[in-house]
Amino acid sequence: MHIEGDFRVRAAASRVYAFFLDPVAFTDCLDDPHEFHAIDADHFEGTVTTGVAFIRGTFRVRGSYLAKTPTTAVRVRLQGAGLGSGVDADLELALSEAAGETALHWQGEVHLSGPVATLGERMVRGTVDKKAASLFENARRKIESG
Amino acid sequence: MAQPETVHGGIGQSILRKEDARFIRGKGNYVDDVDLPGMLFLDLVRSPYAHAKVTSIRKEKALAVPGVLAVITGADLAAAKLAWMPTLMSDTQMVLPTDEVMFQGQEVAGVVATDRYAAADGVAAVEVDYDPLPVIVDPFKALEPGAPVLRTDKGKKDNHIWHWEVGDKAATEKALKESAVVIKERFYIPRIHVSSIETCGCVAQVDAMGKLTVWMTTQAPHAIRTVFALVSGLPENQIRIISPDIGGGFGGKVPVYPGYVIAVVAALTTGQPVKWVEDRTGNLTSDSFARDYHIEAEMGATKDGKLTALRVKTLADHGYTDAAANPSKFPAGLFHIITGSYPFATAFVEVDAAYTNKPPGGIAYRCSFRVTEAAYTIERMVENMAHHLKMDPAEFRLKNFIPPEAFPFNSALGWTYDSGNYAGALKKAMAMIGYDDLRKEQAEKRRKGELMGIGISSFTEIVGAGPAKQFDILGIKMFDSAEVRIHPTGKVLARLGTKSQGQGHETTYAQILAEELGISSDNISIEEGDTDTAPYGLGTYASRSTPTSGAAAAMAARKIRAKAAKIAAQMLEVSPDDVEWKDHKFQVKGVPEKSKTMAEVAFAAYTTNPPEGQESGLEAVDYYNPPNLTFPFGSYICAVDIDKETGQVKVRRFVAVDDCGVIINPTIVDGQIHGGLTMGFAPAMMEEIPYDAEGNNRAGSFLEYLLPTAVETPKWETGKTTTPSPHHPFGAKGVGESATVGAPAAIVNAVLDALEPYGVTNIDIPLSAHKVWKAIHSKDAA
Repeated sequence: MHIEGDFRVRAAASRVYAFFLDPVAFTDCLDDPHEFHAIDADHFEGTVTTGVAFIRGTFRVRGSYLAKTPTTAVRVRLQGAGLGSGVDADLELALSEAAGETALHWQGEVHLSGPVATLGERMVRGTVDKKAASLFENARRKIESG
Repeated sequence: MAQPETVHGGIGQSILRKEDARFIRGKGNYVDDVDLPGMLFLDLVRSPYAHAKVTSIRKEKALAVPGVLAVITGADLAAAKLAWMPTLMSDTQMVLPTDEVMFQGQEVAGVVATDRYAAADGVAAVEVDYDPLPVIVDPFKALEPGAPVLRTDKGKKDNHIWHWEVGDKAATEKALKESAVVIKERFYIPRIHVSSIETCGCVAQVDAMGKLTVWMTTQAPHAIRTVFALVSGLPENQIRIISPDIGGGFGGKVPVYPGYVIAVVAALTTGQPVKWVEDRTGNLTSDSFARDYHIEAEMGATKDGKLTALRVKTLADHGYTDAAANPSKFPAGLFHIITGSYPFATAFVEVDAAYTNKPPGGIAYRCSFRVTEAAYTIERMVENMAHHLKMDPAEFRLKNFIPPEAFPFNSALGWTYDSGNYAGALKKAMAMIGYDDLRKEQAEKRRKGELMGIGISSFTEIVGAGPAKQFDILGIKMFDSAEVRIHPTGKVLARLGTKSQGQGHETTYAQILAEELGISSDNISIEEGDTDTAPYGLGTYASRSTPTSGAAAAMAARKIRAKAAKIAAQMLEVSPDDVEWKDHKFQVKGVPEKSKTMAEVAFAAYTTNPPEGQESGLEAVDYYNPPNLTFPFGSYICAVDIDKETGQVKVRRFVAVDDCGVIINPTIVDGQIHGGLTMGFAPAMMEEIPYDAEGNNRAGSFLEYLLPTAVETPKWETGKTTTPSPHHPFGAKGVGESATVGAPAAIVNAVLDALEPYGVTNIDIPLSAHKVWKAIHSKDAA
């Protein structure tokens, strides 16, 4: 499943870039109950309790920064398992600064497996779009307030 | 003089089903009703990936869940050499993985806990790491050079499982070349699931003497006991399989599933009884599937419409293991019944099977070993040929049927059909539905631009496996059995090697015995499904119960009659040669007023000195090895209306004329046909288990896997003809699956008949409104 979106934040690209390299800060933008910690500079892990429609439960998630280009790009892979299901997401964030704002374009491929893919197929798209939009909106607020 | 007991409930009577006394009161006893002291519960961790390496399984957090007692993994089973088990087709199947998972939903670990909820919480807490691997869901791609090899554990170099062929290839090639008309079509019969209302499950218990008892949802308890003995090494006398009431089997409860084995291991490990009952998603994603046949068929005919030759090439998607429940000699089942009701001079069929990242496929779905695939193909091809030749499909069939006088008929692919009157059945169906008037109405509607279609399916089935010389499963010959005992008071206990899953065996077997023994069916008790008490049998599937165990019951009763005749002669003070069995009693020949009933003889058998050289008591056992299969048949006619704007198909009428030989209980047969027709309508119109490119099952619940309810199900109109099987003891043939076999082609033929003006020759099932709309509009555009 391809996901894609844009948002603008009133902050310098360096600040936005730094925010997304901090896995605890970044994952703290999730609406669902969660707990993440960094393993090293390129890896992090944790849990998030989430779901699609009536299928809900706790996912164990591992994250890896696959590419970091200072102030312009971040690529992160998220692999999660829970509810007998799997999530594998490869996300790219492209940052560009202009007039005191940073424009961020994000896109990625999300692969679902297990009951979430099986049962939630009709609801997954909307849920993923909603959660992604919420995550980046929360990120914008945190960056701007912080 | 004693009066003969009225034989209530003999063959041909529509008595009420004896077993319904408990079912309609909610008093059936199913596996999930078994509740033993100290019983534990098993739940299963399942793979989210269709193909992945299992890099680690961590139990710690699961074991910390309150109530969780054990987590069982493939490594644990491997230590006992139980990580793999044989399938019924002599392939191998994982109980739990030690290296890779091969399909989404595959069992990865078992969690044993004090209650179901703790077991489910434990499942959620087991941490499994997977390394995803390339997924193959398309059997054609599976066979391409360079495709990832799935079964490296077997030393395989590719994903090809087997090639099987039958018929005269060269003669068929020649006949097709010489045929004035040759048509070709491709069909995909998709993967479907039997979806019994009761899912699979078991309760395993090991007693203080080390005896293992398993209450289990199985259609074949004796065969399962033997498999368990061979796999586990336990002595077979220390294993008891009890198959209690079963909420539908349809073929899906023939195989051994990992959950059964893990529950047994858990019971042996913990020393406590362990229950496992799968949930609906587990059932729909991991239990064996049916169909998944990719078929290419060619058919030849003369210009004036006489069929000449048939050639069929098929690719079977078996999932990651060949766990089909076919007789050993027939890896593609009885698919070579595909010449159907027609006397082809020559035919050739070849089937290849491939491994893919799907659960095991190839079981029946209420059909006798791939017979639906065969009947669907031949009846679709015959319909297409009739359209191609601009002939009426009914006339075309009547011109080509095997005539009644040709029976027993030797088919081009090696079967000897026992009896049939195909034209009789079709003519009756045509009369019932008013065929000629429907055709006139259709012509009128076409003039108005409305879409109406009439479809026929004149199928021949093949059931009752089987003759032991040809049929075995895992080497066990496919006979079946009955043990009949008449008590001193004239009441009867009969035990049989089959196992009802709702078909009404307690009634129909009692009726057979009532007819043979002259004892009311009310006084006859039937038991099945307990391997400690019932004689060995191969179980119930493939419409084999009446042809095999039903025959065994009749033969055992006749053995009893032979013995009882001598006792009756002693009672009547005449020579045994002067006694005859007539009007359900023993009579002195020519002196009908001098007679004894079976009940009177039974009392004497236990209370008087037996005739010289004869034992006391009155019981017999028969292991019946049928001399041939039986060949039920029927003609179905379906009339549909199609909404041109939406593609919605409405089955307006459906007439089903079946011939299953001598009918034991007409009401039960009607029930079987109604259920079978609905299970034929289902795959034609609604049911399919599709997979996405990553091997995700896209129909893992009844939200997506669409079973017809009473709302969608058409009104069935049924009729009968009776052509007895000449080799069955009382002429029966079996009927459990005929309607499922015959119905899909009739419905699809009706839809394509409606779409004839558009030149559409095939739409693969299920016929969703979207597919039909697309077919109409793509041709419109063209």
